[in-house]
Amino acid sequence: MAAANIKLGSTLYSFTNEFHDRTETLASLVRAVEERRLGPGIEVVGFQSFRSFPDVSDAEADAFNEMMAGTSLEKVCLGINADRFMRPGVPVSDDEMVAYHERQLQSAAKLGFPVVRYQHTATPAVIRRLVPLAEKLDVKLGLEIHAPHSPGHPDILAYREMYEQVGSAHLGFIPDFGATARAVHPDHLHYFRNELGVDPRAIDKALEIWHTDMPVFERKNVFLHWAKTSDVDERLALELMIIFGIINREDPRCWSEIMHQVIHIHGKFYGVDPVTGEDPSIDYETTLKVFIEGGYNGYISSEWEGHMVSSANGIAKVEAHHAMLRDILARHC
Amino acid sequence: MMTNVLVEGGSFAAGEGNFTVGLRLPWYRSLPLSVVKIEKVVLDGRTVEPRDTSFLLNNAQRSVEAMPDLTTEYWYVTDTLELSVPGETGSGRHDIEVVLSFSPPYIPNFRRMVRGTEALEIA
Repeated sequence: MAAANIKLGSTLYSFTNEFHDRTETLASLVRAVEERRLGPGIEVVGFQSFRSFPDVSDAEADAFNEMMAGTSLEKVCLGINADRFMRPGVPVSDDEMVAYHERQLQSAAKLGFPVVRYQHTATPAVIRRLVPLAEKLDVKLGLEIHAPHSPGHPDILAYREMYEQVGSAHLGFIPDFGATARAVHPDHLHYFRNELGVDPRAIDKALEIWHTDMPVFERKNVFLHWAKTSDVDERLALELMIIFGIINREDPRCWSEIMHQVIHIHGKFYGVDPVTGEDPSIDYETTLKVFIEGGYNGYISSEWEGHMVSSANGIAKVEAHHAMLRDILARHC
Repeated sequence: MMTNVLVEGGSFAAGEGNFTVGLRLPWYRSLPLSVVKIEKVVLDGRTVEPRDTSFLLNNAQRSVEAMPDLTTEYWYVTDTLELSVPGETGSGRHDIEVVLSFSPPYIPNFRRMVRGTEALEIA
């Protein structure tokens, strides 16, 4: 097997706080990634970074391509969305989903991204219909395997089976490391406890359920039922519920099952502890070793999602993440 | 953090027989207006029916009632939506409360509700 070659990068999604509050722009973030050495890979979310998305205009594409050409950065992945419910509760048809994804694929090609991150709710039936266009545009379709899914979950097995049937090199996977985590991050717990004032009983119960082995999609329902019968404020219970959707406990060795089809990685993290040099929620050393031993050749986008519960600066967070990654890679590669 | 910010600070203003307040989309990406709903507006302690309010976004002023059908028009994530609320703009303190909900189109069965308030003193 060829030796692993893992290249670092950032998704601008990590800098959502700065982008949302308008202290940074797309251009200034690209510059920051270059100047602070948080590349060379750049990933963006289409619906965040481009006003004209899903049909990126010539003006926006030209501006982006020009700003990127002035850097040493590489475009590695564009995040696209499976917007099935354009009216709440009313799903669009598969034909409409295919058309919607095609527009986003065209935009990816126009922007020069070789890979798109798509979401599991698109369904295998929709994604297989995109393969001819993906091959024509030479844009790979990467299913993000995100918590609470894992490579062995039935929803993902359905994709693996479709990939086997179709046999296209333009179909792949994007592991999100939040899917093979070890704990809920202390920053989340701090937010629930100190900012929202959630009942400590509810936090304890949520964590207890999070650490069980009950079926992943049942956990939030079990928790909500408990909250209802335990007189916990429903609004706060719903806030707590995100822990069942964004991070899940699973053995990182499961990624080996699909290693040959991994085309990109979402280096999801919630914050590197400055004392330990580790992210308490995700065992990066163990997880990265799976990809090193698996001979992965590609990028990992540092993806800080702590902006859900923190107003902290994302650039600083990613700098710490890159330092951790470089240290791990230096010791094992 | 941005998921809790609804009213843009300092945006609450008085016009001619109405007030305007700037709203920010409390999400990380743009959303079609059809998944956004103005749930509640309270002006100076009085409930204003959302259907009696209008909004300015993408250079067009529309009734809030138009939102559910706007499946192809997006609220870009860094834009301010200006909500116009009818009311008496006499001198003194005025208070507004807005509750907005949205359902990201890629997450089934999920609705997020966000509340914002702002006060204004008219001389």
